[in-house]
Amino acid sequence: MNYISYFENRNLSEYQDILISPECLSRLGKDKNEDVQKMVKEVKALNKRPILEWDILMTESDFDKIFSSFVLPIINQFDVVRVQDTGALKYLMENFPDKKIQLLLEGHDHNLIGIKKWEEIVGDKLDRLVLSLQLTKKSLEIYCKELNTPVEIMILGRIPLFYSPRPLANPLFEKKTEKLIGDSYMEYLASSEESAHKNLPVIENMHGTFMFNSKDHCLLECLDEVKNVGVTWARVDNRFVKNESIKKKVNDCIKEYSKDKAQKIKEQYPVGLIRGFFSVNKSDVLFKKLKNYRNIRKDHNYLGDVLDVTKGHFIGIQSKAKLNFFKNGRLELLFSTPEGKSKQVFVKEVFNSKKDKIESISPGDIFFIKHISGVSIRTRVYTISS
Amino acid sequence: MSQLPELLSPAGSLEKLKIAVSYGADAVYLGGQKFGLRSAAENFTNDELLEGVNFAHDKNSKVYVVLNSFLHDEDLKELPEFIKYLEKIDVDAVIVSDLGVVETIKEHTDLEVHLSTQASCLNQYSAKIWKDLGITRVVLGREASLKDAVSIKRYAGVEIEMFIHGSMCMAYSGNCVISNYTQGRDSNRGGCAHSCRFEYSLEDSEGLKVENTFFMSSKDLNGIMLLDQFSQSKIDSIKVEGRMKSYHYVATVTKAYRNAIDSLNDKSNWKNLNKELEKVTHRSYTDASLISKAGSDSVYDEREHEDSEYTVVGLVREVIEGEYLLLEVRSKFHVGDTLELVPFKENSFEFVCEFLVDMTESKLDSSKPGTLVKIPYVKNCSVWNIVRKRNR
Repeated sequence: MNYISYFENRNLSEYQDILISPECLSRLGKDKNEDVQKMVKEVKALNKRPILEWDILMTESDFDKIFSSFVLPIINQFDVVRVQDTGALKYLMENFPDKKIQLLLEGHDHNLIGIKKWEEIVGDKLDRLVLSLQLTKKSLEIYCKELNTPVEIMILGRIPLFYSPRPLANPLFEKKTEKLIGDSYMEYLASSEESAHKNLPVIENMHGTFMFNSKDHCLLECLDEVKNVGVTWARVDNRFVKNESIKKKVNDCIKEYSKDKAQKIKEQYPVGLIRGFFSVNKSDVLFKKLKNYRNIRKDHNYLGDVLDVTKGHFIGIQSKAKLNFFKNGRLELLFSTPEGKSKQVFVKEVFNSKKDKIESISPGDIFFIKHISGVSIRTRVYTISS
Repeated sequence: MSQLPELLSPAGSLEKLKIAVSYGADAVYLGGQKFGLRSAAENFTNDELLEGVNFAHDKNSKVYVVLNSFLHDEDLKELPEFIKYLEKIDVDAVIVSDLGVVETIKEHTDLEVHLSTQASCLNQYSAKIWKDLGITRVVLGREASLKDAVSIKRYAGVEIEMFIHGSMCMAYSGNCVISNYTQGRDSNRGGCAHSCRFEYSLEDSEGLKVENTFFMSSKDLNGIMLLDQFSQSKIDSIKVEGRMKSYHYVATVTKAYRNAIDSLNDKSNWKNLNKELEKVTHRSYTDASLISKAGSDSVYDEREHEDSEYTVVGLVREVIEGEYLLLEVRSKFHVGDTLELVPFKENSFEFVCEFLVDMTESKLDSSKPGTLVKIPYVKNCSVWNIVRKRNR
């Protein structure tokens, strides 16, 4: 297993690749543009690879603005660039054919077909695929076998939840303090007033507003499993950990791994730690509770919906189908209520809104039958094949 | 030279499709039971899709089906059968975010593919990469301006679709997973819990607090007064958000933009059309990033509420000329109330509800939601018209 971390980490001995994050190109980057050259030299002197982190998303205007000035000399200093924006990817492939690319697919690429296609698109320029925190170990194992590119996942760090280009927090504090904050790098903690979610870190800077989970992602305890599924690069992002002793313990844990060390880090870590979706991802199982599936019409023999029920008198139905009543001398209907109850009934007479008896209906027609107990509005109506 | 953009409206259900098309949408977008981002919407069964496509095509409107979830491997297995069905029933295009979905569609069908706003395509280089993958139209991220769009279209050579109206994600679309971690619901597979609309308190590193803020909630987009710029920019399609929105919203917004497109050479009525957009439930409006980057004034720092100038009292289900309208009642109203009919094309007009009769022919003083009633016949009325009432 190889490890990658940020230049900000300072203690770089255990890491083979070092991410340098210039503030103009990196979402959370604090590295000053003018310092990048020095950092690159320093990393190379340690016999490690400097990687340029270019993970902002850019509109056409942002692209123009960035490239009108200082970015080209920065890119030129690196052999390997990490990107998420598909525009940045294309730009690099067209304009810097000698650069190696690390493609960030951390956001939402969760199927092998798509990931393999990205691999094909970038071709031999692809240095690494950075995969999503939401992938399970089972998926990672399959992907690592099927892909021809080394795979990286984050094993320790903040979980990004939200990325907006708009200034959302600084203006509120500007108003409160009457001090100019502008797009300065600021950190806040957000707590929901409507749910149990407290202390969600928020960062605002020149690229917009970012929110993170209140608990950090940590796979240190199951590092053996990470290795066993075939992941070859593990990222440690401890930029937001201020306790130097914890950082040292993390480095030590990587150097000479033991579960005990990982457990102690977990106990002493400044915020709660979770494994996220590494074991299982069931983030679609609650969908069935989002609507009343009993109310979804079944296509077979569907006739229409009940629009009106007047007890003791009639039921009004809007037809969605063409139907000749009494073709066989009788009409048998099935009523399926929103509560999930079914009722099968023979209908003798059918009327229009003028109370005239009718013998056929067309799609869109409203028709009426005598009241049937237990049937409510929004009940689905089906014909029963004779 | 300007160009008339396609008006693309939301169709959260078959009835809403019929309303959107009847009120002037050139195209509608809708979702099947799976693969879209609105799990809680009614959505379409396969037969409803067929009926919807036939209805729209009969009226020269197009139908685009959203398949814009970011799918996991197991979800993709079910996709081929569905997309083959979409091709068979002659759907005009599908709207996709995920490269795995694009590849699956290309492997199994010849369907036209549009790139969803979820993919956050914001620049010409991104548009080029997707064009190379067979995408014919890009729905730009809402962060792109009209100026950006012109440049992207010129250099990438793809059709451009832009949102012009409706609710907006505060985050770059597809780049928010708050629901995944706080609610256990994958926002990129249709489970968004709208956590950005919640109330929060914020604390800075010195302990200073801002409480009771909706700092992540966006105002709603309204670009009607910029429509001539969309046209001059040769934007191919203007999109109205809102598959979860009401009949009233779909009808009113579609009609306002239809009339604005049809009167691009004479904007004298546009202020009135903009007033029409005030009549539906909405958050405060903003033009967001259409002209310049959205700033802090684009935040809707209020609790969600349902204030609206008008309430829909019913939907016309049958017209018996010279006698009565059969109305499916949505909200209570009284005999003697002044109601407003919203015809498909002509201006809305008021009429007095002089009688109200239920289906047993009993006279009523007031209507009850969830029933059918007869109200006076008015000219220029059609099935699927909206009847509304001004709130006092």
